[in-house]
Formats: sequence, C-alpha cells, structure tokens
Amino acid sequence: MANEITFSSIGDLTTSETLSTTILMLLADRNALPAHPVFAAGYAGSITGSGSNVKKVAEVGLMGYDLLATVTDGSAVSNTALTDGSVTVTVVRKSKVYQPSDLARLVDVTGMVNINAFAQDAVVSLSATLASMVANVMDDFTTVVGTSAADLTFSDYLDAVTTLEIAKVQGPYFSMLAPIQYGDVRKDVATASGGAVQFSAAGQGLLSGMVGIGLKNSLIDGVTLFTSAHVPTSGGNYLGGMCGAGGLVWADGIVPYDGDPNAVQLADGKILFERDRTATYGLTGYVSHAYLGVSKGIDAAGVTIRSSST
Amino acid sequence: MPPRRPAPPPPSMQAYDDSANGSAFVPDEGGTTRARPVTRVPGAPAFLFKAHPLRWTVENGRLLPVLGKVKFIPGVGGCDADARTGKPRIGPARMEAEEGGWTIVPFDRIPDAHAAPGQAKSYLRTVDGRPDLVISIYDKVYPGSDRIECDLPRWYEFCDYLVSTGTIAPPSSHVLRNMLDRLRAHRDARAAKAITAPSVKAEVAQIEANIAVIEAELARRVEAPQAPAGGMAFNPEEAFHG
Repeated sequence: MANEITFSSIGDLTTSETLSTTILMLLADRNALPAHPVFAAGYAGSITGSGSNVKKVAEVGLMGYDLLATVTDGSAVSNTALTDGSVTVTVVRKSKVYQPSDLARLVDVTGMVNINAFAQDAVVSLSATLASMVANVMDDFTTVVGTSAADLTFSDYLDAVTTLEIAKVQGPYFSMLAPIQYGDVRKDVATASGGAVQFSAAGQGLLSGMVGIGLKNSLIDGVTLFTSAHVPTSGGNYLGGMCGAGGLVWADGIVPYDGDPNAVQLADGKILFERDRTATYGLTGYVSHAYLGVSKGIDAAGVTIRSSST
Repeated sequence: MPPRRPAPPPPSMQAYDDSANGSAFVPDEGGTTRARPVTRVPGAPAFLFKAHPLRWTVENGRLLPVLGKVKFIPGVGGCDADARTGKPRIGPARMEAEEGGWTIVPFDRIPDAHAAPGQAKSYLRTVDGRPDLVISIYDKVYPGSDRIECDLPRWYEFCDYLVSTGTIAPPSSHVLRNMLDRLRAHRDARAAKAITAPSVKAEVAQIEANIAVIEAELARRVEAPQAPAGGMAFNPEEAFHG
C-alpha cells in the first residue's frame, strides 16, 4: 500500500484550529440591580444642568416624626422644632473605551469585535458598575449583625430584619450579600434550621430556587435578596448589608448630546456611546461615558451584615 | 585465546566520541504556561480603614473593632475625582465619615514589626500582576485562586495596636452590653438548633467563650455612677405643677 491520504499528509489542506460559533463569556458579575423601592426612593436625580456634581438630599422630620403635645385648654402651645439634616452624593464620570484596529475588525468572525457588541457591553457595564458602587456603600452602616469569622446563618439574617424594624425603617427591604454569605444561609436553612424554617415554603423555595448570582428567591416576604460578587471584605469577613428606603441615595447625569452622527445615547440617555476614529492609525475607539454617584443615606435605615470570607 | 578487545569508554563519554558537539537544551514551553498565575480575587481599590464607636465585635476571645473603609472609588461615599487628573479625591469622603462619628486610621499606623523591610510603612499593599488590586497587609491571596484569607494573629496585633496607641477608643460599656445581649440571644437560638443539629454544638461553645470575654471585660470595669447621657435631675411635680 502506498499514497494513502492521511490527516498528517494533507497539512496544506487543513488548519490547526477553527473558531467555533460557540463563545464562552468570561466569568463576571453582570447582574443589574432589581427595580426596588429602595432605589426609587433613594434616587436623588440628575446633575444635568444643576450647577454642581454634588447632590444634597434633605432629610426632614415631618409626617408623624413629632407627635402632638398635650396642651392645657386656654394656654399657648410651644413651637415644635423642625428636625432636618442632609446627606450628599457626589457624581463622577465613569468611562471606558475599546479600540480595535481595522484589521482586527475586518477579520473578526465572532461578531464580538464590532460596534453592536461594544454598545451592548456599554449598557451591561453601566448596570454592573452601579451594582458594584452600591455594594461598596452597603458595608458602611454602623449597625452590624452577624458573627465575626463565622458563617452567616438564617438567624443573623433575621437579626438584620429585626434591627431595621426596631429602627422604624419602612419596608420593603433590600439586602445584598456576597455569594458565599448567601450560600451559608442556604446551607443553614437546609441542614441546621428547625422544621418551621426548613420545611416552610420559603425554605423549600430557597433550596429549589435557581442557582447563580444576582436576584434570588426571597427568604422573607418583603426582603429582596440580591447576591453580588462586588461585596467587599475587611478583616477576614465579607460585609454585605440590608436597608430600607432612605438607606441609600444615588444620582446620575444625562450626558450632553449635540447630535454628533458618531455618537448615540443609550439607556435613556444615561450612556453616551461614541465612535472615535483615529484614521492615521487605522483604529476605531468605541467609547462609553456615564455619570454616577452612590452614598449612604440615613445610617439607621441600614445594617451591615458580616460573616466569614472563607 | 584471541586477544581481548579494549573496554568501551563509559557511556557518558561515548556521546562525545564521534557525535556532533552541542550543549544542554532547556525547552521553552511558550507563552505563559510556565508563569505563576496571578490571583483571581476581584479587583479592589485603595482605602483607608475607619473605626466607629458602635462597631465592635468579639472574635476568638478578643474584642475587635469592625473596621470600615473609606474607599478610593470616585462616586462612592462622597469620594470625588480630581477635575484635572481624574485621580480620586477623598477629602469629602473623609469629612463625611468623620461627621458620622468615624475615626480615620492613617495608612501608616501599624506596628513597626508589620512594615515590610525597606518599604514605606503602610497597611496597604499591591499584589504582583494585579495593578487593579490593593489589599491590606493582613489579607492573603493566592496565585490562581479567588480565596482571601486574613492573617488573624497579625490582624489582632494591628487592632490591639490601634487601641493601645489611642488611635481608636476601646468600646464603651453600653456597646459591650449590647453585644452581650445579642450574643446571649444568638447563643440561645443556636443552642436550640444544636439539639437537632449536633454540628452546631461547636459553634455554641464558641459563642459561650465570646460571652465570657465580654462578661470579664465588663466585670473589670468600674463605672462611675452617672445618668446614661448626662443631664439634670427631673422633678415632675415642679415641671407640671410648679
């Protein structure tokens, strides 16, 4: 036998590898915050046309803050001091740019090195950035629940709810936990909680709920549970949090757009997405700009939830 | 008897007898396959530790502050960005924290023994290969892993150092009593679960030990008798009928 055609003998007719049409996204926390009253109540507005990049949010003690005083018939009532305060939120620019060359774009077969992909990325990145900023504020409340260097338990989670209720925080609440914190609570419910919790509808829902990070099945009615990889650590502990309306304030800005054909507004104008051509280099930049700021609101309207980071 | 042939040279020499000369070859496996992978811990910005009088905990028999962070993240917690350079400007964030009762811990406030030889004193450090990551010198991260561990013995020394140098005040007695109440309630809840879940027993024992630490600290203190938050004696007869 001779001249058999084998794979190794037709090297000029084959290539070492071809690109699959399947693309694996690298792991990242891409989850957007849910539409929740905490964020609706905490939205301080847009800085556009306001004269400053800092928004001051007033706090006022009305609508039942001061009770009526008992006054003797025929005598004058004394003035009641109006309690007020404020918090501020500083809005800054958040931007990024991908700049592929013409050659990189023209040979691209994946569809990932083109304007549509970069535009979608801009929108997802905006929501992920906001989630990371919120996570970095939720650890700031001075009231802390949970046990240092120990796994988070369902009991700790209940403590957080109780703490907010004692502080007169109006529901519903929003909680943000690191994935390992949520996993520890789930394990606690599954293995160490009593029957009332373990076999309740909420407990079963927790165990049968969809896995993955982001929005989770609620453990308690009225408390939205969100897990995020952006939850920070300190001293060997994760510091998540829970808050009600007033616990967070945030602001943004509409990026000025003057009709430039190389720019488009995305996400209701929260993002200005631009094409920036550098002709002499054969490069095209896809630039996205947004303006965001997040701060703690009323300290007592939130609680930090601490547990072991391992 | 035929003459004996001479013995062949030893194998190590034989190769050089009649073959082409050369030298040792160390294969280059290419790319990064031989490189030490960097840590997979998510990126984190620089920060300053801050302490609050209400944020204390007890851990492994020690009273510890639950330190917060003023983060160098423009747009978060009042941190701004410099209009010219774009670099974080944390002045407003510091001020906001101090107005809220926090004490900022200077970055160089660490025990001398904790400073890296030949480097500036700082409780912050960078990680090789990860310019986006700044961690405390008490955090330990590992190549190729997303695990963060705390060097607990040194962390405890650092926290003790902050108190002993007066950087932060020790916890007030009312803070300790609040912790005690919470821990006792937590102990009772976990002890009830330990009846059906024996794995919880060790945790209950640890909580008991932490309770003992707080009780001992409270017993050690001699509190001057005083009104909880100052003030004057109040006579309701005079106030309402005088």
